[in-house]
Amino acid sequence: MTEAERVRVVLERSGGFAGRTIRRGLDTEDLPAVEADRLRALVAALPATSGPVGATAPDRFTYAVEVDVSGRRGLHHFAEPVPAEARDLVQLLSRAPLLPASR
Amino acid sequence: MHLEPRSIATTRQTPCALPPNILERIIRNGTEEQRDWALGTLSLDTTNRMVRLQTAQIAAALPRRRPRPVPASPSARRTIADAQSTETLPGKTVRTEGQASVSDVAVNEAYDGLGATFDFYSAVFHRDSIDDEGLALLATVHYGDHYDNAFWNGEQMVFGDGDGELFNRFTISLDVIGHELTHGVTEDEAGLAYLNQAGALNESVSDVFGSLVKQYKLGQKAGDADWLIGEGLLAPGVQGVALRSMKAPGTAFDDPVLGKDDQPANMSGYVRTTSDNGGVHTNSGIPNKAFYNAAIAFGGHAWEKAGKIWYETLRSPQLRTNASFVAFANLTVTQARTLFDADAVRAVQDAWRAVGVKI
Repeated sequence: MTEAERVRVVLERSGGFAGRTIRRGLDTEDLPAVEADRLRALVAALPATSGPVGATAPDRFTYAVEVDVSGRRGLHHFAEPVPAEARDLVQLLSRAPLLPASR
Repeated sequence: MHLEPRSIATTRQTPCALPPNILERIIRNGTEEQRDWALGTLSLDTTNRMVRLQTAQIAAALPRRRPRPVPASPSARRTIADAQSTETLPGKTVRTEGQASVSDVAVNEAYDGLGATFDFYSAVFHRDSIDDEGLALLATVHYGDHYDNAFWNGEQMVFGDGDGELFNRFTISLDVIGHELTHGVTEDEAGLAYLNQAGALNESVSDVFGSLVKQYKLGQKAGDADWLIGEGLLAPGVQGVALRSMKAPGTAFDDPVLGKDDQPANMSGYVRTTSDNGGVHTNSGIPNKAFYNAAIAFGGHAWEKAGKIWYETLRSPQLRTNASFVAFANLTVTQARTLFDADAVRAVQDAWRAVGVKI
């Protein structure tokens, strides 16, 4: 991944007490250079893509992280506790702008 | 011989995340190593079920010798801790049993909510805490950073502050606290798998008793209760009144970000999905509505008849960890007959038939 590559990431959080799927996303094109670099680094550090997972206990979250690096797409699934190499990205995306619900 | 059915029963609590049908599939299709593991897990699960059944039969046969030295009025032993926005549990102790309220509203709400839930189970069902053995109650508040959830982790309660955009702090609704603590009761009594219909029943049982904790605290009759789950939890600006409605599943919210409440109120709308552990928070609308129907048919306080029937169903040794809606419904009818009368049986049958569960 080069410095200039556009990275778009969508976090889909499912389950929890609410049981709703909430979507938040970030795009390097919308971020200041320093934050864009951080997003690229966090995405590069993700473990290999993985299939869907179930919640580890009642009302715990599951996460799907959709990554698009200049058109190359990957999908990562995590349950709580989120693995260390994905934790900072999930944390960052948990404060990212909300996206409309998929209907 | 000194028989201690309750303490024998607790040896059943081997957490098994996988329901038997999945284990059976692994046994059929898995590698040799997976098969050995699944066979071992399944036989343990079956053994535990046998122990539970036999324990219950011993207890039923020898009611007078059942050693239950329950104190006249068991009291809660609460500890509230503060994770200070970290994910380290339990965090710093900030209030213990009997101490005066503090300036932090989340601490006081957690303390009061744990107390109200303990009091409900104690007064209504003579249950001594989550495990019926006087478990001390621990709750951590301010867990994580803007964390959008509350959960029972098998040992304690955990509350996030919410993101403020979609959700307020999770201590705000008493029924949320009752819901989460009831996951502990369900794990202790029934071990319902958290998948598909058994998972939706697990969720529904938490909504049922979460709502009853609130109704009991408010002294409400079934006809006067709002039957909402998570009222007050949605942040300002979110279009909705709560997360779920037991009275009218599918009507609690309709919001651009949260989406529309898609809980069905009838089997005709049962949602088949692989997400959310098989739609456990969606299909719970069906048994939720069945409980509401029964409570309204009985009238009065919902915990007195409908609640008692559902509670004894949860405790029934015949309730399997992978129970379907129909299996659970049939057991509620059995309990209605055991605890009450033919009118109660009809009320419970009608409640399930009205949501399309064929019993």
